Amino acid sequence: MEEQIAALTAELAALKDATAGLNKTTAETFYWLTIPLMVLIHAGFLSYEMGASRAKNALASGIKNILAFAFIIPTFYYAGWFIYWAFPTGFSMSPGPIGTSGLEYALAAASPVGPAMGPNVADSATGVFFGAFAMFAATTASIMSGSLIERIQIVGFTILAIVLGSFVWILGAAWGWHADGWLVTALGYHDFGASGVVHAIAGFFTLGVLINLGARVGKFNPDGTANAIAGHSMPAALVGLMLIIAGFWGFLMGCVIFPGEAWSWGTGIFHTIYGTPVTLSAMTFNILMGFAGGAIAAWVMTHDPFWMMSGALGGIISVAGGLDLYWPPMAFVIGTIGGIIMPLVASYVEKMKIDDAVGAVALHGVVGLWGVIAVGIFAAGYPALPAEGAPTITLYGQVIGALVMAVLGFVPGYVVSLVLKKLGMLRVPKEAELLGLDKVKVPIEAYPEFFGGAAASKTPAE
Amino acid sequence: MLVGTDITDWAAVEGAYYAGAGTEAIWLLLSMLLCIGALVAGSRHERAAYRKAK
Repeated sequence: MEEQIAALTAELAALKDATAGLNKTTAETFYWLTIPLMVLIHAGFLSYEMGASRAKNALASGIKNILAFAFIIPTFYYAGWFIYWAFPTGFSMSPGPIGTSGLEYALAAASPVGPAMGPNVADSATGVFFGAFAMFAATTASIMSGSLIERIQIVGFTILAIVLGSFVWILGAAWGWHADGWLVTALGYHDFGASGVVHAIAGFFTLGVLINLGARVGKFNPDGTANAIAGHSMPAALVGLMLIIAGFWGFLMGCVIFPGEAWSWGTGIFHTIYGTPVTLSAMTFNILMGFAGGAIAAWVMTHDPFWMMSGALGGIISVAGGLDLYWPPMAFVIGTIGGIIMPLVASYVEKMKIDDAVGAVALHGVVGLWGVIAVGIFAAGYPALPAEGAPTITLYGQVIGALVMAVLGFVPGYVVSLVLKKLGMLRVPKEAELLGLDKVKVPIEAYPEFFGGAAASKTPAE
Repeated sequence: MLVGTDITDWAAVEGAYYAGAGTEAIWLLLSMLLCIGALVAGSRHERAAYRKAK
């Protein structure tokens, strides 16, 4: 009998080990999969921005996208990941109530010279978490990219992308997208899918840059009226936008905390980054409803497929902050409002003589703010954290949070671009802009058969 | 060590096992310098291209 009990105990221990191993590798794989899905966002940005550029600038626009992605990875490794863990309580770097923040924690978990930030058999999580956040960072920087096409210098843009992607937005994420974040613990700020910490910050950073960058040659007439500058391939732009939407499923997948691990909030169910419950099913309802509401509203408002696809994205951004909480038809209404706001704001931005080539200020900046404020209107009252006595979500907290995100984005965008302008690193010379940036600084041509380039070499079969 | 490893038995590995252990800061600095160098080279190329366009 004793032998049987011992055998069963050993078998139970082996089973528990196997289950723990399976849970650990499943969690690791879950976050790993968010990364290629988010790469789709960059495939989308690449296609979208090249399509939205005139043919003479198509490849130069593409170079920007590739470089933003590439430079964000090492710079986010150097600084961004550390900032996220060090600064949730503010600039004091003191630990917050949960204890997963502050200087000491950041040095252990995210130091770019520490053992957690490389191959380590005792740590299956840090690499994939870092990867997912690095992709959030690259997405944030790429949001700015399209607005600046056809006249920004490549290195100047890359510096701006690094500042936004590896420093600015992640500070906002530490404050409002972390269970120890001061916006969360003090005001009950809730931004599950990053309407504010990614979209609003990126949109308002972009606005700051656009003010210093100026409009493309020919965009505005002397009487102040605007000319439409059509991109050379609307189909490429539309496909790109749809790819961004596909990639957003990976982005939002990366916003949940997998259960059952030492770093998890609990077992048996996913949680938000704040430790409150969420299911992939809840997110699915509301992502789809937001998408539909935004696309339909933009169709009614504009009848333009470019704005319809942007509206679809705007619908998702509108509901992102409260994806975990809304009743799906409510999400549809919120997405619809986002789809209505977006073209109106884009027209207003143009009236202010700001040349936002793809409407990122309206789509990400203002609709991102709407996504944050909508949580305060439609989902007030929920506890913002799982702890007893936690602050609740309020309209006041969401409005303050939205203002923080707008200012945190705008000020660095304006200041850094102003410095670059003074250094002569912001805008290309007028001659280069008129000639086309591909001809000036790209060694290959986008469409050699159509624009008088060298004749394409023929294959032996031809 | 700067390159390679002291590890001779995988069974003894319980934590970090990357090449370059103990010299992380040197590699970090080198990778940072490469990023800065790439931006400087890119800027020079870009300025030369703009001068030519004028």
